Amino acid sequence: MQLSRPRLSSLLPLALVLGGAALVPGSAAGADRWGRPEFVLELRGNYYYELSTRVYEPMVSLDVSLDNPAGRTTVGVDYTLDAVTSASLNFGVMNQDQLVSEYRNEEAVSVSHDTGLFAAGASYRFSKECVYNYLGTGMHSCDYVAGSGSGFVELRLFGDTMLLRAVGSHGHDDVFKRFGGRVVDGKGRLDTWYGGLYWTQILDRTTIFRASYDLMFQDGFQANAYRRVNVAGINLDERHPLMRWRHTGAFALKHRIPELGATLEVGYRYYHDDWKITGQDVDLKTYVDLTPWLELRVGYRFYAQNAAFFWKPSYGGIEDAEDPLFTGDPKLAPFQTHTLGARLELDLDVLHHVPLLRVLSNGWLDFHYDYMFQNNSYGNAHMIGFSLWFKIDP
Amino acid sequence: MRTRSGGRWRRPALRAVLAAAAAALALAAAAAAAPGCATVKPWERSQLARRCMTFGANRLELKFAAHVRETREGATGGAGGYGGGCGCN
Repeated sequence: MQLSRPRLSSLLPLALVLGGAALVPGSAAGADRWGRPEFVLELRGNYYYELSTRVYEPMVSLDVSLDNPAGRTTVGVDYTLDAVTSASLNFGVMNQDQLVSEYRNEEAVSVSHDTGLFAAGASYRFSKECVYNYLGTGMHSCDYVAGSGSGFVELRLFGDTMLLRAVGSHGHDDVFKRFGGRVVDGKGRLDTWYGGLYWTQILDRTTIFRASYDLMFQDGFQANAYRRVNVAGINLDERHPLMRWRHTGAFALKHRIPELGATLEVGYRYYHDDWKITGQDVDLKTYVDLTPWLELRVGYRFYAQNAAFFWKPSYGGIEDAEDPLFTGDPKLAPFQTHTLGARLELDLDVLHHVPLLRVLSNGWLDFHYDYMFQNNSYGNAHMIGFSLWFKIDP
Repeated sequence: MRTRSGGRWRRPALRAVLAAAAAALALAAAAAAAPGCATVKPWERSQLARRCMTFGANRLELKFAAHVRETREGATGGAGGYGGGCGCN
């Protein structure tokens, strides 16, 4: 099966910034001459566990920045592996006694340029989901191939107390269906256009605020390639609308209390789309300095949504035979989640006087655990992660 | 069911674009009214410079959280960019 190549439109923002970075005029914030490169490396491991799905997700990210007469230019590369093991029929498993592992490899490259008052950047991402050696048969197949290009511009105004950021992207996905270890069907394509406006404002010496609006339009195959729905006694492939307009408004506020060595954060998000789903979430976090180099974060998030206009608990009645759309997707049902979590962050400056480990001293190490209560068919979930971030400034 | 054929897609598209324009205008108007807040000088920002006061400081952690939400919730957005790229329906 021939997989599609990245579309030129997805690569356009990257090409524009690569070309434009050389043309941006210098500013007061730019260095007078070329500096030495600075490297930032982040290694991260994530684990997600719920009733029928486990995900191991290692990530690595490397950014290289260089001060130059026109400002500061940064080039970054990211790699993410999603190793998903599932017994779900919705995962292309032929019966639920079998556990199948699928691997999603995602690579991304980005470039950005910052003059102090103005910044712009672009990135390109490519990912592919494949099964290797399906149940020991040696068969290999890929059922999801996606590429996307993104660009952003940023303006810092009023003495750097206001940051305005506009983001845009286009993604193109190709969807296939696997039966056993082989791809048997091209299910279609999905194009996604996204635009976002972000406004960050310093309110006083200890308070910062952010408001945003996102618009997304999706056109193409948006169902699960494997999920089947019992419609009036007949099992049929799930059928969702082909188009979706999605709106999201959000705000967040952070307030520092120096006397307590603590920071409070509150966030709210409102979502609505033309599938008639409305979702809202409230996100609360508290950061506490346990010592000068150890920080504890505790958080709680509540999320609730209603159902898509075509969702029903069952389509088994004879009157449901006329339904043009039907779904078995738990994400389109009404449900609520409550997530409780904690995170510890160690400032690696404590290693400054430790021989050999001094190279890590300009960085941090963190560990987090979250537990999510979900009243839908996914069941409750555990999320664990750790990361090591450090800067090398030769 | 909305399809690409005919003119039935135009009305929801127009509504979506008008809603987007209204939201963007509201955001721009609020931002334009905000300079009155801008009294914090650079040397008064030691508390604001802390990592916990920065939105998006933990980029890969946020990427993981956004990925979990996109695969488990009907809503999306608010995370600073487009996730997607995964057949997680």
